[in-house]
Amino acid sequence: MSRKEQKEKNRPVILRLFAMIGPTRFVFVGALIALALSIGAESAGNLIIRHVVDNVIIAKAGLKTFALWAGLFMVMAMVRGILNFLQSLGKSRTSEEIARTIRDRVFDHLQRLSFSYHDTNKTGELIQRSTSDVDTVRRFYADQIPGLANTLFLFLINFAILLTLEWRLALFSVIAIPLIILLSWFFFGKIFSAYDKFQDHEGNMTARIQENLNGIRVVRAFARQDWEKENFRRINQKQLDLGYRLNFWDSFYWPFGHGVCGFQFAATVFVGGVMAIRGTISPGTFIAFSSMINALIWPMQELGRSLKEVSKSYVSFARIAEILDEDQEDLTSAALTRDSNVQGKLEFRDVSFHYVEGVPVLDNISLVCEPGSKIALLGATGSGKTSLVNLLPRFYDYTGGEILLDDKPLTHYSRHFLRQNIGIVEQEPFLFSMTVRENITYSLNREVTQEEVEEVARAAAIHDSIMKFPKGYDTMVGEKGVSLSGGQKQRITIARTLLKNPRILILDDSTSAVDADTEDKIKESLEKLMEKRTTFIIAHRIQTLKKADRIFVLDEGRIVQEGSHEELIGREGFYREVFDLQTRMEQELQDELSAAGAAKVLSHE
Amino acid sequence: MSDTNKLENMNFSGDFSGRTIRRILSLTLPHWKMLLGFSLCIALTAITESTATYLTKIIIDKGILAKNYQVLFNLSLIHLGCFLATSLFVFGFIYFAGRLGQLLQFDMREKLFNHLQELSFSFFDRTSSGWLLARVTSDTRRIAELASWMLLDVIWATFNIIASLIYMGMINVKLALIMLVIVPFLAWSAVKFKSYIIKEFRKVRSINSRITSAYSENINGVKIVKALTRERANARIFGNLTTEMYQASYRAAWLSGLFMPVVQFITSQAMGFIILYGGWEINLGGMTIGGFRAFIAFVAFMIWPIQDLARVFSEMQQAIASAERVFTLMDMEPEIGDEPDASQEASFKGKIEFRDVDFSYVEDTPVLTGFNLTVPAGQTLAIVGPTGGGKTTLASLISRYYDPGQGTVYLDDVDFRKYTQKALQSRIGVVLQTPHLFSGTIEENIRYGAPGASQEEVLAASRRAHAHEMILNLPGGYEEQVGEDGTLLSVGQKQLISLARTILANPDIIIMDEATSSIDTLTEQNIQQGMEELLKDRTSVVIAHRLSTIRNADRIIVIEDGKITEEGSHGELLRLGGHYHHLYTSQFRREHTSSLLA
Repeated sequence: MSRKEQKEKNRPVILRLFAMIGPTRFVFVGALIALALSIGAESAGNLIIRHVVDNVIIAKAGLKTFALWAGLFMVMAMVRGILNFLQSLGKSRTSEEIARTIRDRVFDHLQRLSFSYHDTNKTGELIQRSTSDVDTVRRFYADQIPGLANTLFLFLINFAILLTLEWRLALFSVIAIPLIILLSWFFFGKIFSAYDKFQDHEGNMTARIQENLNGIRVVRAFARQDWEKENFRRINQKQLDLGYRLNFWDSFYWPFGHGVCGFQFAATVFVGGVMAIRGTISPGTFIAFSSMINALIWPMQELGRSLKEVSKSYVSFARIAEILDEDQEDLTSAALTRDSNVQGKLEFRDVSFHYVEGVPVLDNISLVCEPGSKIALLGATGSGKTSLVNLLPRFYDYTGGEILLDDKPLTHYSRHFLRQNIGIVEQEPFLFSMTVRENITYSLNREVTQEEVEEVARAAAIHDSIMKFPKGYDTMVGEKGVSLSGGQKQRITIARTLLKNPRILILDDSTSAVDADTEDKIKESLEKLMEKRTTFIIAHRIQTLKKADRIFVLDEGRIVQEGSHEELIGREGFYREVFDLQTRMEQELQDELSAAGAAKVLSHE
Repeated sequence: MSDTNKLENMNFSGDFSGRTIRRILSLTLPHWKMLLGFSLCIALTAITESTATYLTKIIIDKGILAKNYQVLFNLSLIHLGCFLATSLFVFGFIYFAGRLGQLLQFDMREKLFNHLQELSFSFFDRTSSGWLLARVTSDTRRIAELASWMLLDVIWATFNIIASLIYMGMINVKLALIMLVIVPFLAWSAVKFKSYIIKEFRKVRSINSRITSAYSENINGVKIVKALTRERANARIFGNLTTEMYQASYRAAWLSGLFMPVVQFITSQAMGFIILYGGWEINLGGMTIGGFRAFIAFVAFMIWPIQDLARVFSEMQQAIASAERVFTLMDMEPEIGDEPDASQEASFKGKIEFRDVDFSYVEDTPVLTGFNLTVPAGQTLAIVGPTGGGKTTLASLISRYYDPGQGTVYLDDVDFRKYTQKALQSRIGVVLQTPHLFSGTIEENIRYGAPGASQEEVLAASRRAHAHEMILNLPGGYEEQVGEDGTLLSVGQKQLISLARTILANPDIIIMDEATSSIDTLTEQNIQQGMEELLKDRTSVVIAHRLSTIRNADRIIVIEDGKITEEGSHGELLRLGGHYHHLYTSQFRREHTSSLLA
């Protein structure tokens, strides 16, 4: 991490929130200036009315001067309109630009965070942060800052003018403002907390309804409709009570605020009236005064809300910053800059690895794998097979020893380079909601011809199925398109890997998630995939393993046995146990079949 | 069942139709006191507020300009009184409208929820739970807001405009008439313009939901993204999406930024005209200075509701569309009705017989045709066969989750339509492939099928299901929370609990869809023993995958394309050397291998 990033992290979050504005800051400041000017123009309009009343109407200056002033009033109004428009242009430009920047950054950042980060963070939580929290930050610039500025400018500009018109009356007219601010701060505290409770419970209620709808078959199977209704009634009732409570605070605050503001206004009008009768102020000043006080007092009611909302944006931004402060995986830097092809020789030298300090997952693993050879890993669940192969694309970095690829340490290669040269077929195939073609070409950053795509689809034995889809290769996968069977999905991922054409291949239990019928169908396409590639196979069946050049048996993170199939069955140990059990199982099966009088089956290939 | 039948695809216009509005009204009428309360309060608010503005006119003319302290003092008191009265009315309308809104939501949520409990399975097959959820939550909220806050806005706007116009008329008739001409024009153009803006904001929302799903997919598939080094391409594609978002939002924002200035500009031109004309009138003595000031205040006063009108209308339109959806849903009859003379009580020895049953989910695509099958009481029937062959359909028909098109199912030689669905379904235990648990404790979940059961009975059922040990090993034992949809437990644990639940409910007939997912050996053994316990002495139909289940069944049928292609005992079918033979040998290898290495 660069020093600049470190410095960024140590700054207070609220400053960073303001720093998000970046190069658009001039636009934003411009927008705020436009806002202030437009408020000024409005006040100027009031001053024009004052002038008209005092010097035109009362002085009976005649229609000509009148027309002049009316014209000026209209021009002022136009200026105000233009300023207002500029203001909204500026603030929406700023806020949308910031929202886009954050969205892009969060999106890219998330896909560059390490595996361990994604292992420990919930998807829903991350999505929540990247959508609704980003929107809260957007609103901070679009609504909250301009809103606060509006209240503030209305107050400052009008108050300043009032002071010059008649300072004693001006001071008198703001007496209630501290009270209004206090009241609104207090009540909005209550309203927001009542609202949070209301929202929380609404979340629970929604979850409850969702659960009921998802489990409606169980409800029916046990004929529990009446109980469900009763149960929902309670939750619904609580929601009603919380709604009442929220409404209660609302219905108290607004009349309070209104009453205080109204009191202040009426009192000012009265005192101003007295002053006007005495001649301390002119009638025009009185009229301008009353309009400007109006503009000054009423927005104060909302000040508490604005301040509370600003504090919410702060929390939202802190949650986003938490993601952005996580260190990215370094994808590109490498000691070796090489364009030449990977040969595919792999060597593990005393490699150890752990996720959590003190809990070793791999311990002193040493093995050599020649280019193009096939390595099989056998072991019980949790013996470290998947962890071992996850080290190759540097999904995790080993904590001890060394892995060499073509005789150079793995850490000398960039993660990107390694991942481009390693293909993985996982247990649970994952496809994106794109077209079938886009899924197959997913890993290639170049134009791919239809022939290429069809060729790999044929090799993966999925071409015919694809042609039966409504739009062939252009059919969408997933919710908006066809739903695929597990076997079909797996074959598309095989096609995807074939097209990627990696030198090194990892088959991580690739057939265990599909049913027996499908497994047979996939087998051939997997064979095709393995041709001429350095391959790591994780599997449970001796039939799958025995063709490997070397087999390693793992137990609790250690290699306990290694050798070819022939060597291993000749020795005592786990492999032979498994082999014997499987042979016995075949025997049992044959026995059972012959007992039933059924035809024997050939030993399974 | 065609696509037009699908509620989700139906088009709800949101037109102001009399029927929908009458129906909303009839929902509101039971709470007429609140409706009346807030209508009165908001009308009075509009009146007192405009009166306060009119008072400033008299204060200026009769108090200040006439230099009369007494009048100034008296009028100021009334002025203050107006504000205090307004406060009271503000309290009233928020209180009543808020309560009414909450109450209406409560009513509708309850009605909808209860209604959904009674709808047929086929309805839930073609209607997603997400869609239904939105009806129960957001649609009911919109309808409640229509009858409370939106109605309030309309009443406020009406009274505000009328009161303002009347006071304006009192100040100067000619100017008021000019305003009367301008107002409709202003209102019309405001509504047009605003509707256009609202449309732009809808586009923004739809892009926003694409952004959300892009996030979701990339986070869910992050390991594949990394493995296939797609980071740069994905960031580029996503960047296009956010740029699209930026452009759409910016456009919507500047359009709506244009709206207020335009409205303000038109008003100001009107005001400039008033100053000009008013000044002339004042010179002629047709208008007072106070009137002049009040008139300008009234113009500003009227602009608010007018420029807000468009928003209210568009929200009302959405609310009415919501109401149409909700009412259509409320009007849905369960597709499977109970016969009028159906028996409320049922108890079965357990003989099941399909007689010439035809069934199809979609017209012209029959799943079963002339299907016949008899399961004698107490027997276990295992169904095997490829996915999509009709196994699940067959099992679902027994509980009458669907009605056969032709023919019927007899239970103990009685047509199953002779029982109410509730009576029938409460005697048939259904164990699903992916067991569904409800959030709550384990004990609550076991008790779900037999609410009155004692603690001992719960424990006994759990022991028989071989779930007891597993449960005691959890930190909270029977009090352990299972999480939403049971997510805090493993699939195997959920299956054990669902077995205990069914054993406790003690049904006469068992329908079971066996799980295929791999489970650790110990749990697997427990499940097998628990199942044997459950199936003992009961008629049961099992969609079977496990060897032990298949072997222990009294009879096995192989179903392909809705037809029984092979039938007999385990040995008989093996000898046949057909589909069953193949299926059995693959499953045999699979199970033995995975049990070895788990």
